[in-house]
Amino acid sequence: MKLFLHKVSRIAIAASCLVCLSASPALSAGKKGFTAVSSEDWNRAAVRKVLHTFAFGGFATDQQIAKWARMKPYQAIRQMLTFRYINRRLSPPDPWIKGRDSTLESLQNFWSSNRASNPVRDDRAHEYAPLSEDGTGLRGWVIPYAWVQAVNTRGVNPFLHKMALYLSNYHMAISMENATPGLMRQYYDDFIVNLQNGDTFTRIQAKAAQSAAVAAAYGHQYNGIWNGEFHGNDDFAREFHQLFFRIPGETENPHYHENVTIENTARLLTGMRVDRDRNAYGARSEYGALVGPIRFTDHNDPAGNFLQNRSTHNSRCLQILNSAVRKKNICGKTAKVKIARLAKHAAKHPEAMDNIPVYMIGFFADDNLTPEKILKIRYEWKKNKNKGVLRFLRRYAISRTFHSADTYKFLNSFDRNLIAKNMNTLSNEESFARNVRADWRLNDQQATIFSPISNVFGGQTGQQAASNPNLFRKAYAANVNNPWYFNGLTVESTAENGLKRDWAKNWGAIIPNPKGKRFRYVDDVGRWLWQRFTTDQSNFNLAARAQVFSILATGRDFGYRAWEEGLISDMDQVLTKNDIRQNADLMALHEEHQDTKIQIDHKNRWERQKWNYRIGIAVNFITATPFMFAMEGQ
Amino acid sequence: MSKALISRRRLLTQVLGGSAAGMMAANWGTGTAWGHHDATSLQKILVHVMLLGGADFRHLFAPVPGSAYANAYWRARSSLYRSPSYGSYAQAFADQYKEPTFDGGGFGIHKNAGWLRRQFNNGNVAIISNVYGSLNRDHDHSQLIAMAGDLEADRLDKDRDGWGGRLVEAVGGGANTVSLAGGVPIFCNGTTTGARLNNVVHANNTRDFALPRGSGDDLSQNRVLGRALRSYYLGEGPDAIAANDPSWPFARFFRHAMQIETFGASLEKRLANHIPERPADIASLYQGGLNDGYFGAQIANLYDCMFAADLLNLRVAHLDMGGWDTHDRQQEYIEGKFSDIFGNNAGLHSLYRQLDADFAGAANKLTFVFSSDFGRQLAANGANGTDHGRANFSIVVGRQVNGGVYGEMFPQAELNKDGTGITRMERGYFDIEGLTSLERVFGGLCDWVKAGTGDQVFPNRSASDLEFGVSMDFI
Repeated sequence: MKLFLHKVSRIAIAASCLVCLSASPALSAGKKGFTAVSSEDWNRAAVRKVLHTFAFGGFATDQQIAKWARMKPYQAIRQMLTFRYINRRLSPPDPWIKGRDSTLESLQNFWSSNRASNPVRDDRAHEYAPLSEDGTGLRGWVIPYAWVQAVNTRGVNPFLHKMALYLSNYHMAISMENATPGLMRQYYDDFIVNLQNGDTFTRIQAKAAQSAAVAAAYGHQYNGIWNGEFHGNDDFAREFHQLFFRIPGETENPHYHENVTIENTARLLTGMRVDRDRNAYGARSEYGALVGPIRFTDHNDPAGNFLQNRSTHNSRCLQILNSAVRKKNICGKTAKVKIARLAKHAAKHPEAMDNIPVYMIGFFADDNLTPEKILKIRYEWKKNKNKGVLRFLRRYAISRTFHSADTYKFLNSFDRNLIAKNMNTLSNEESFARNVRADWRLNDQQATIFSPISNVFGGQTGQQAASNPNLFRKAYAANVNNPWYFNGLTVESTAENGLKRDWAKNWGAIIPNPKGKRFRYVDDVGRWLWQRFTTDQSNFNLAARAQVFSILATGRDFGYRAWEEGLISDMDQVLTKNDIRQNADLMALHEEHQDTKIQIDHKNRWERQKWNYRIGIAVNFITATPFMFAMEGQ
Repeated sequence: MSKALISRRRLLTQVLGGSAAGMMAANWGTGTAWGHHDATSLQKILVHVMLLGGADFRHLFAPVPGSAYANAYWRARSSLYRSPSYGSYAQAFADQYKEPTFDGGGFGIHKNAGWLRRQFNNGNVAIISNVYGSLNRDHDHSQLIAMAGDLEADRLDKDRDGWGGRLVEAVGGGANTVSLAGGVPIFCNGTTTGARLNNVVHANNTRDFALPRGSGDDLSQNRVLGRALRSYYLGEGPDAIAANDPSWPFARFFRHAMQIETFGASLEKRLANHIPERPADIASLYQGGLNDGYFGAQIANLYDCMFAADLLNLRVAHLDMGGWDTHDRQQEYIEGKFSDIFGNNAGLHSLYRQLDADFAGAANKLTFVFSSDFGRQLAANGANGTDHGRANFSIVVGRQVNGGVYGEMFPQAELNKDGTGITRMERGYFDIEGLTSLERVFGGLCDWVKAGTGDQVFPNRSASDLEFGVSMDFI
């Protein structure tokens, strides 16, 4: 695998402060796992935090969030986090999605189809079409687009897809450039299917290591034994341990690890040539495309090539990971059998047991993993004998370890952009009518799905994003320079776009109106928006409120309003919260904004649009504040 | 080695070091046309180039044919050379390499690195042999060690300082590391937890750097948002940072905005006044002139930064380039990279030539050091590539460098035979034996930037490994 790490320098591991993998004796004495958060601390903010952390915010209604907050945490989490294709509470489906398996292949085929139930605009359906126009191959560039749309679609389970993102783009990352589009999509879809089927984590790892996509991406499909001699490289042999199972080999003798474990694993990974098919994925091409799964036999592939996967495999037993802790030879007549056995062996390795869960939590939830937290995470993973990842993550998601004041997570560009997009998208109708290309914004901010910026070391981490001032500037500039990304108000149905009916933004449909009045106050709407995007009310101080309330009340920033009212001489003047607090006139202006009535349900369409427009500007402001770049514990 | 040349350079170094004792602003004048800048007061600038993936510099430098070592080298590595294929090493060497004339020659420099060879001949390139950092062949950990400049770096400790960050702290006076790469790696980080980027400027795109104010009339969405966000970040930032614990995760985003505001407008103004448009030779580096436009863009940004070095307080710059993990088809991948960095009319050549034309003397203040995860194994693998190894050459380039080869370039120990009579060179899995710690090399470069900083940045340097009989007076 060549590391084309040119987009950013590679500091790839998700967790930022995992300095303590070797537990001190004092700490290891107190082995205890997760403790569930108390009922008092399990509230709506806690529920939102789980949704933002694990499911790109999800699509649960406010009512559902309130319901979960009233339930016992362990009961609520069983409804919130599932690997089923459809999770009706987390992502309530529209009728058309019913029964769909939510693999990218299935979604692409449906969204590019002529079926009457397809919600995609006629003029955009081609953007999901799997095949090139001449039908000779699978198009790579549309696959990321389909993924982004999937995550923004009600009825698709965003937690399932975030987990598949982690597995395919972080933990066991490969890139489409090296794997080919067809195999990359299959690799991802296999994770979706395997998670839905309840496979153990070890089995998921083994299947990934056996996959055609990995063999093509790393190049060991060409490794083999010819005339008794090994030909090939040791690239995946090393990464099987270091990345897939997180075994750097520190518990082995270094010489043994390099010259026996790694080299024998290279010999194990022989006889893994990938079939080629001229009619792969419904295309017709002269040379064909690579297809999976690998057939571990001597056979002719559909393109007529004779592949010797049985006879070029190193059929002898191999000594691997022969540490002082575990000793075992790996035997089997094919690479598939040997990989499955090695995976079971490796999953029990002490380094794997220590590192796999810590990396996982580092990716999802915590950039401040203290020694105490790491011990709890490891304890839970060890206790989880079947390595059921769902159970592990559920227990973590309701734990005090997660809902803690010293837990924080820097959001990578996937999380930040997709949470914002999901929170701003009020229905599938909006999602498909507007058809905003989130993938462009993601790519610009180094969140490149199926082409991880650190290649096999994975996509952009939260730490990388947070340490990148230029990326911060890009995100900031995106909102200033292109506010229409969030603030689209209408799309008219035309013959050209094939939209079934006109669409108009309607925040009034979801912003609470508990007293059933004809208006809402800026104060309430502003606080509700802030919580929707940032999970809670903390940090919504006077400096932030002044801007949000001013925008909602007038469509203008607070500086402009103060200048307009003759309270300052320069509309570009920077105003601190103390400036406002200590100036009675500025404070009065702020309070005037705060008490303004929003008539978002007004019977006049233009009046409604005016308020929706202002909310859209406020969304742009909120999603460019620091509180969309990181999330902190309670 | 030309002693006269070295002496002249040493003298120049001393003179420049003396004149740069205090921080002085460059003589920028007002509204000058380009080509009239004066670099007298420009500070020395170290440019760190990280080659990500583990660069095989044994492909860049090869032994001349005819020796036992060269014969073994060819037996071990002939499969790397596939296009065209060669019948003998003499043929391959003649086609792929050219022997330099400086320092006694004795080896070839790949022909794609024509500018590098000329610089070597001019005494401007130090090749330091058998340098090691990481000993574990793991990309991630090895990069961390190289970036941190710490052989004991914990593999999972990503919130830590780097040697570039430590160096600018030791230099003092508000000196900064400027990252021209897509991100800001650990190399740039300072020692203060929670504020590691305090002495870092991220100049990934010098031509679009300031906080946007928004376009349109005063009441356009863009302008409203531009004012609201600027007022919020700049107004709230100082208070929020002061009021919260250093580990408060949101502080760094306020800092980003404040830093961009600090440098953005002045940088853009400086460039607009002095180089409103990049010279064609510089622009071409990222407009198709190189295989790797990303690297070309970094060189272009470095060119720009030289004209604003006083504003940025630039003392250390960081660039990176990926794609060096050449497990298969090494020749196909690596030779284009040699060309992009070291080739005629390519990255460094264009930069030096343009600076000499537009900013006399500025290029003399630059020293480049090329670093990588690790070296690669001695013998080719079965996939026409090389697998992970450990030690490597360090390459230092600059007009203040004492050029030449330091250490045993092609150790005879690599010809030692095992029980079956096969040399270490030809037996798979063996790599270059690490004899000199990277602390020795990097520490020397720190001392060049500012005398006495080497031991501050690398406190273990004096106890670290140094190849027998080798002196680290390459700069």
